[in-house]
Amino acid sequence: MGLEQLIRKASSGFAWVAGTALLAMVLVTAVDVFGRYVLGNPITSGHALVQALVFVVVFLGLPLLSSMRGYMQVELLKAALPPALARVRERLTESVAAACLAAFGLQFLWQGRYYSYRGEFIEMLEIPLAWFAYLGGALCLLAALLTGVRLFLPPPERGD
Amino acid sequence: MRPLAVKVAVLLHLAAGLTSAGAPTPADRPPGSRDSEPDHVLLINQVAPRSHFYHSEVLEPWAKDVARVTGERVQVRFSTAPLGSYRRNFDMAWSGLVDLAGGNQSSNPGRFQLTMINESPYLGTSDPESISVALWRTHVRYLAPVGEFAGTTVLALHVSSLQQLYTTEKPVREMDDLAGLKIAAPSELGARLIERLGAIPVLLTAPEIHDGLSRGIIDGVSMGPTGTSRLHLHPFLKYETPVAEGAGLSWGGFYLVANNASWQRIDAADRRRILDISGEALVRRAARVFIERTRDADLELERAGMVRVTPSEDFERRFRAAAAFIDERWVERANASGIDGTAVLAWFREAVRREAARLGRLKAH
Repeated sequence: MGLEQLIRKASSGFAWVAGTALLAMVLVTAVDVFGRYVLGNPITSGHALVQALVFVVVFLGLPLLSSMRGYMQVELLKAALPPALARVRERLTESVAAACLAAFGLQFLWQGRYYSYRGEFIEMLEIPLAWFAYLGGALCLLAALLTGVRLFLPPPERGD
Repeated sequence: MRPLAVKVAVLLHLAAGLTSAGAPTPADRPPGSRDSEPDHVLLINQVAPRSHFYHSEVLEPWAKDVARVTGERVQVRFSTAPLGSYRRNFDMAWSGLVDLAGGNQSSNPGRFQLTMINESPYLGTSDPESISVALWRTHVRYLAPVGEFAGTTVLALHVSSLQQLYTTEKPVREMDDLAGLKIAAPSELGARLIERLGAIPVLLTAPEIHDGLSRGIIDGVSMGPTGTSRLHLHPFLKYETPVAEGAGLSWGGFYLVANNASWQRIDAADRRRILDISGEALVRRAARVFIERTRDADLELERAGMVRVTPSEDFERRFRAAAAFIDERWVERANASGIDGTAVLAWFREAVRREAARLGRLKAH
């Protein structure tokens, strides 16, 4: 399996997991609202649970976007630059993006260690906050890796 | 100098001013000398709005005292706006983003467990001063070595006011009256207690509580009278049930900490002077302010037509049984941290009793 194919498979996997987390978030919100207004019995800590799921959805989306080159780009210079320079600019932009994602990832891992040391958790659910920081860190580093790998692959076709 | 260079120089100067709060004492100006510039400016993250009594009657007077006892060599400067979310107050002081920070232990569930030794409503008194003094002494004697506030120097630990039970439409006299009521909880621990009482705890922020009450989403709150009054919740609340023989559901706890590096930069003699007006002295001052403001808030709620409902004996008996987990959980966690939970809890309770007896406030509700 080539690198390109591997990235496609990974993208598909991330899309499924992020989609499932999104669906879970919708379900928790719906059950919480129904429970609160109709049954008078909302989910305990439903608000905190939704916040945790938002975090999971957002950070699962990072490697997915990186693998698809799906992030937002403002290409003010693209039209003004000759093709050779435009490619250099593109590589440079992606290198900076990869470096930033790696820095965020490392910062999250450090934060995870800190939360783990302090023992903080999500109220009522008692899910350690460190887990979320570690997850965010790992996903940021994966997104950095995918963005970096993209540097060595040919540019995508329009509409890819 | 060109205009751009001037701007850069000004910005660098401002940035240096922000980051050098608590900079070392210049060697040519020994401690004790008077100068127009203080040796150390300790930046404190704004804990409460400036109009809040905690700011104007506790922190501001303490800041003035710090300047006074150190001969203006150390000054406390309040940030003009919060520099981060309330939950991150401790982290900001720990990391050195600010030099001082205060907050509630309950804002970070799981983090400050042992310094919440005071949460049980059954302490033999509801006097914030006695409980705060005992909390501080227990911290100094037993809890500080556990290191819940590691990386910072604790300057104060005290309680605020009782978290009472207020309801909108239904007076709560029997435990069954609480069944199914949605009650805004003051903390994670408060939420667990509310759950044990048969009500449904809802964890909301202060603005959400106001919104929840005005829209009828929640049926009551567990909050101190000062918070209820300040957040202007009384137009929605009709009944107050003073549970636990008037003591309330649980207590709220506050801390004030200094970043260790900032603290160590201050001259040792000045540190001692600041400690003399902090610790137990500050704890007493804060508790007395809460006593006065709670009294005012109670009167305001009474004038607004709040009806006090005396709970039945059966309610009190069942409430005591439901609240027993607070101490049990604390002892379990203390034992896990390597201290004798049962013995420390007994020492704390005795310290509360002694101080309340000395102040003549045993069973004061």
